[in-house]
Amino acid sequence: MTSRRALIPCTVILLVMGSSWLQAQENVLMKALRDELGRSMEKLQLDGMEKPYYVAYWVQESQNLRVAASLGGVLNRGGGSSRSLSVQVRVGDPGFDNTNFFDFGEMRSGVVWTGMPTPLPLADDYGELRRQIWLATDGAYKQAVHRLAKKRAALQNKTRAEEVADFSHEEPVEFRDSRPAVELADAAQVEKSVKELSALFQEAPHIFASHVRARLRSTTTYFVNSEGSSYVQSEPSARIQALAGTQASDGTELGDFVVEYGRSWEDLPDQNDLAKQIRGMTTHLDQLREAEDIELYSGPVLVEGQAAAELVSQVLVPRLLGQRVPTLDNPMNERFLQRSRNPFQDRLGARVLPRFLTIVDDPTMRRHGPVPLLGGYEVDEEAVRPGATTVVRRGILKTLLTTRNPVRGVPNSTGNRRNMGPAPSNLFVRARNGMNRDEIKKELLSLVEERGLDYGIIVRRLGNPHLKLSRDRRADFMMPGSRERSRVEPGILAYKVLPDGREEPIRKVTLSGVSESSFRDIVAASDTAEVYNLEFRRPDRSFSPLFLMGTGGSLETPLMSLVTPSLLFEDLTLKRPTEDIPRPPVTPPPSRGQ
Amino acid sequence: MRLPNRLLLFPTLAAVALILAALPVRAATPVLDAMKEELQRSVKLLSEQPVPVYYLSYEVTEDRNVALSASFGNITRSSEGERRLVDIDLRVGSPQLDNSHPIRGDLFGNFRSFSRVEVPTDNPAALRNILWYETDKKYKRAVEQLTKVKANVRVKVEEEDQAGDFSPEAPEKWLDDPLPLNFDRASWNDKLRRYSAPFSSSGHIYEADAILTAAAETRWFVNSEGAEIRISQTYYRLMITAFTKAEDGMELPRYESFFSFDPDGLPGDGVVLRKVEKMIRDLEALRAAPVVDPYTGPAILSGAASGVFFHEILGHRVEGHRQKREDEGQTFKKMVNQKVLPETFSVVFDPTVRSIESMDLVGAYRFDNQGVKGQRVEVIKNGVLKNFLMSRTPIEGFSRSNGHGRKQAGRSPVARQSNLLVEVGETHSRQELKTMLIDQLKREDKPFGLYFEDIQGGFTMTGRRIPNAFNVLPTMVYRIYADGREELVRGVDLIGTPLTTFSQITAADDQVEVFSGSCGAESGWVPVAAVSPGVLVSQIEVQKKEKSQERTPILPLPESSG
Repeated sequence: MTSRRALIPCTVILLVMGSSWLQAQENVLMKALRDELGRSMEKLQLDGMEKPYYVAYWVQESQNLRVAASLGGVLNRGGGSSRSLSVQVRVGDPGFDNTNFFDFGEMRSGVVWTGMPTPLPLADDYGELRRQIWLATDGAYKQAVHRLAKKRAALQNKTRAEEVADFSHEEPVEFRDSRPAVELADAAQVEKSVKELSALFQEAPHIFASHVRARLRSTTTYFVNSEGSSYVQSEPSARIQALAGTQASDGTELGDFVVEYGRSWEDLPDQNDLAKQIRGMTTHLDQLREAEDIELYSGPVLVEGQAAAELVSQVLVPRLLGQRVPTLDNPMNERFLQRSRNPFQDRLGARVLPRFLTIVDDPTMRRHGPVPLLGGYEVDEEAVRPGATTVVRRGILKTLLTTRNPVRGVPNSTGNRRNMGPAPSNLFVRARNGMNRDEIKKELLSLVEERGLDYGIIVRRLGNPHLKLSRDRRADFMMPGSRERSRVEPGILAYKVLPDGREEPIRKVTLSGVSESSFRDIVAASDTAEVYNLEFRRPDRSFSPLFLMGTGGSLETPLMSLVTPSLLFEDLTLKRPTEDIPRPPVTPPPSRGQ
Repeated sequence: MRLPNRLLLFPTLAAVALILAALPVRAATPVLDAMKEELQRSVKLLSEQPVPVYYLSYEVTEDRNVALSASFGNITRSSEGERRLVDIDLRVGSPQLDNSHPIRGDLFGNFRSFSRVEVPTDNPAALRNILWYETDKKYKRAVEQLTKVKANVRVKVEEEDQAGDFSPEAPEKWLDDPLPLNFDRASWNDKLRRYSAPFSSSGHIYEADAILTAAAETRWFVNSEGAEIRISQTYYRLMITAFTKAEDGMELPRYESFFSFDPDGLPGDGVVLRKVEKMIRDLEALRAAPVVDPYTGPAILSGAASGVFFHEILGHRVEGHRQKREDEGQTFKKMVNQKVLPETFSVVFDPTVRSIESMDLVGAYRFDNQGVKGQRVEVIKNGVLKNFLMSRTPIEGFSRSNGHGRKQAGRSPVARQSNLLVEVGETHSRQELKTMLIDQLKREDKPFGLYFEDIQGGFTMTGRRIPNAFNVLPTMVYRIYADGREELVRGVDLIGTPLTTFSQITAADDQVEVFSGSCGAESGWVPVAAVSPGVLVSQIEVQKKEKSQERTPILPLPESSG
């Protein structure tokens, strides 16, 4: 209790620093960036080597606060402030430059870290800012020159399969965020709330493990490049999550989560709402412990609400991103890496969804009806002003979401660079002639009858790979692009639907063999769509996080909003989980609330 | 690899905390009580199982920390955090053979796992619930592991060392009051600015940081034998690092680090700023210093260099469990009661010494991570090998722990070093040592010897699959010529193999120095100190340092930054 009081003074310090920065310092920081940018473009050159043709700087000012609790006791807390610089230097020309090349050997020599963010003074000291910018630029330029030479050497004896430029042309943009910077909430208040929510699990003795975590960030990015673009943009975020886990009587691990995102602590649902969600979760987990499971089901499946959004996020979203796979110096490594290439890059113009579905990404949208959307922004990381991008129109793949690093068939940026590479913002899956709730269930049952099955299945809730108590370690070792494996988290809430419409809950199910092509077999969608917010993370199993490192931009996971109707799949295979099932506890829990 | 590298200390201190408010001194012990009650309940229930538990311990480690950094006179980072982790040691089988027994031939099975189970210390019921669930999981894994152990013992050839798996120890009781982090943050921000500012006077220093890390660690320990311990310790460390580059691209770092258990124990501005001035002068001198080629010959190691040298060549090789594991080099296993150093040399590991000549020793502790009292261990007495550092894993001829079972929170303890003290009966002045070195140069017609003044750390390999070598990473090295001249040089690391090098240690001076660092091995990072006088080694070997291939910056320092 004493320590909670002790947190307050620190927060006050953070806030004072925060507000004093914004006004006065913007100019000094931007001036330091522009001055060193100018000097670098003019004079930075190694003897006999090319000058940079493009330089960009990102400075991220960030304050954060986090706290975690379990059953009413604090597990950890912390916070801090930092200001860091990342640099991108390009040599050569936009058609062929030092980027899109990766050398595993550099990792060993440590050179790759040259591109890592440099800490900058938190205070406004022009001379010191210049010193750090100077050194970071110098390192980035040398690395760029070195890479360009290696890339030329590696490609000397090869015919390039894809003649795609390395950098797209975009119009310069200037933008200043007029919104005031969001101040982090009072640490003591956040902690109190987190503790109280975590204590709710005391009422649920069948939940074996649980925690509640909150994380608040306030980040402002300052950007300038040598084409005359610049921006200052704030991206505050708040997250609260509650994770719970238990085991069924046969030991099967069951887990679920409650998660809410917002731009600030005040944006999040109030305490009563969160408490209600948590209680709902513990109640249904309790019921699931006794629910029956299914051996194997192959047939029509209606994926509703949250489950539809998670399924789109886990399977389809990675395919909508125009992520270039770099050239490597070693052909064997390159073949290996090519396995993580997005197959949709070869399917522009092809039908990837049924004709009644359209997918649009739109960072300019702020709301969906009354519900705020969290994936929006004014300019992307490369200062490209985004618009609505229709990725799939009536089932046909029209484009991919891209950055200024083009892919074949998409020569320009769609303004989707976040977290160093392409990322969705607000993604809408829209259905023509959507069915209402009753109609779509009826449609499911008619498919069931057609197939001569005893029942159909509705999945209402799906796991999220980053919101679970125990991570499946084997999944982390999976090879990139091994498509035959199910990449989908298990269904948490699923129901058998009997021909008379009655629903019976079934326990955790695995969706087996779902891939992007499964989405072509969607036969119907609902006429309403729900907003689902989540953090965008690049799939663990592609190498993109690795080769995006050091290309400049934000290391923070961006928020996205998915707006999806319920989706009726003609044919999916569901199984009960096949992984090793641990034994249930051999000892009873201690009595609670002592 | 084991690196007592001062630099590497920092990434692990990620976060946290708090400054002001002192924790109330609690007469009650709710955390300990909750741990004890849950332990007793678990032991009772798990003793009734078909495979009964014979030993159980809980250790909760609470870390609160604050990290502040400044670079060239500006604050660049401030962060704080606190967290609590629990470690559970649960044993089934018997002390002679239990689930902790190493499995031979299992490439991955012997990697000690890292667990990160967080617990609260402000809510006993919550703590108990997590202890219950984790204990239950641990029990099931232990039963499974014991089956594997028993099969492995039957299938493989008989082990050389037949000592059991767990030694009996007396249960200890101890109650420290939890210590708060207590320092003036504003004044430290100011100090860090002032300590890092002078580096901007040199146009060639590319990084210069002053970093303060403050940590308060409280540990609660209970076991099924009746131990009940709460100990608390604060750690304050000031680190100053800077580096320059020679024209050939070689990165030349300098480090200074100051450690104290108490913030007031850190040196005053005068001392620190004089060190800073010396660092700046050293860095300028290093840029101009000639590069040394690989060489063997006599050398003098300063106290700090010698401390790290002993830590690597001796310390890691007298860690008890390494005498038992069949994949370890076991350099000293068969050398007990044999002479390994000159008669005047003794080497002691002593966690009970908290300071020497007003310098705090970071490797001090009252109890190790197995609840055993830290004890003074005379490893080498008058040149003769006498003892090993022991955790509760016995080895042939050494059946009891001497309080060196250590770990980082989240790991399993093994025998680790504490405060290494090189004690020498007959000492010389530094000048005499130099004269002895020069005499040897003349005798052997060598052009020069080396003087290692300062080091950043070192590492060593003790396994059988790779050469059993060590490497000490110096930052300030001088050539000593036969005419007595000293010349600063750069670009070498001190290397060697343990037994050969050990036999070359000949004399010591009276300039005792303390190296306080952090040592990483299979049980994680633990704080360690090494205290030694300067020593004369009649033959050492140096190899070329790994060198950056990056040139010095192309453009000059911006004018505004000078």
